[in-house]
Amino acid sequence: MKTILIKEGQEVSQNFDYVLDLVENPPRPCTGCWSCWTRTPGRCAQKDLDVFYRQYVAADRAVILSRAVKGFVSARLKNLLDRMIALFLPYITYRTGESMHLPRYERLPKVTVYYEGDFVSPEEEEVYLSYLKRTMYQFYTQCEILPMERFAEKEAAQCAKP
Amino acid sequence: MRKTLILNGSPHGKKGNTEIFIRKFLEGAKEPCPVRYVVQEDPAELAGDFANYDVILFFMPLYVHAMPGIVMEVIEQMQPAQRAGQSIGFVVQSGFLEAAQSDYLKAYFAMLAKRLGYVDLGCAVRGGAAGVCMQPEKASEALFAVLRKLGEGYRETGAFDGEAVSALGTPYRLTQKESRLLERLHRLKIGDLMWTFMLLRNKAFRLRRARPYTEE
Ligand SMILES: Cc1cc2nc3c(=O)[nH]c(=O)nc-3n(C[C@H](O)[C@H](O)[C@H](O)COP(=O)(O)O)c2cc1C
Repeated sequence: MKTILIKEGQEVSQNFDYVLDLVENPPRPCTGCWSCWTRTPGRCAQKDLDVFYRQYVAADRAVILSRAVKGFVSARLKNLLDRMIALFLPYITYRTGESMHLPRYERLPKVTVYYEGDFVSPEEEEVYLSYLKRTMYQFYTQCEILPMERFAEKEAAQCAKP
Repeated sequence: MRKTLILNGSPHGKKGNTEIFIRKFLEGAKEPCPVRYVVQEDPAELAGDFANYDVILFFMPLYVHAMPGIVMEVIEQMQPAQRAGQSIGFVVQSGFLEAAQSDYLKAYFAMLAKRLGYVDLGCAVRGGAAGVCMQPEKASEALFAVLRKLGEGYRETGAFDGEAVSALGTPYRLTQKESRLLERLHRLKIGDLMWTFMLLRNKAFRLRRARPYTEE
């Protein structure tokens, strides 16, 4: 079981097979160049995430520690999510009744998001959660979203699994 | 017209669809107003300047169901509204046909305006706009007329014209008939012609389904 971690500066004692810290290594923003769809299919023209992409598509699980800012995913995490389109095909299917890109890889890791943030209302938190669920659904990714307090207990249990 | 700052939130800056949306809006508003390009600016400096305006209008493409990361960089730096009545509004355009694709972002912008104490002018949404800057002007004449109307209404009332917003936001979702037809075109490889054309032109068609990050 290969598990990778994407975090935003949090201290973590568990071991992961690969760690991307978005504070130490903020991903460059997507430039909208469409290279990943029309010039070098599947490959981003920017090279700063090459190691991450390889680790991500090879992982069984990805754990994301999200630090919400102003009630939304941080710019750092949003830049990473924008750059994920390299992992999908430009082609659009409508079989679910709405537009959706096709997957490029046969499987992508399951994702668990642990989140923390300064939500000013339950509605704001709900908007943040529904955005993440929406994005993972369109990424053909099974996803569980939990408050950060659950991280230590849940991931200790995961690590204990053979 | 109230003192307005327009932001272009596209990584394409002056060369994208967002820019065309802004130009058509301003043609309707018939009054010049400063436009700044998020992609060229320091986020903190840009957000700091919002205090000098009565209204901030964000124009942007939809990126992965929300704002481009560079726009979030600016939002992170925003301070609460500086005086009563300071307003904020949003215009979002996207590739997928259905305006409903932008619902998640629209919901967030409503929360953001509330959190920062801005009067919320709302969020106008347009789907199916990815090709606008590649097509001849004529092909988008109906869209441009609505954008001019949005600008004209803004100059007259300081708000987004309801009819223009609803025209932009149509189709909101695909009907069952439409999605079945589009799926059939996709299966016949007709729906994806634009991508095929670009792949062919770039001599990359053969590699279109490549998985470079699992291959060596
Ligand atoms: C990284 C990336 C993500 C995108 N995500 C979406 C999306 O989630 N939904 C959508 O309808 N269009 C999406 N698009 C398409 C753009 O919104 C569309 O091409 C837009 O017209 C670009 O505007 P611009 O030329 O002003 O940058 C995405 C484009 C890029 C490059």
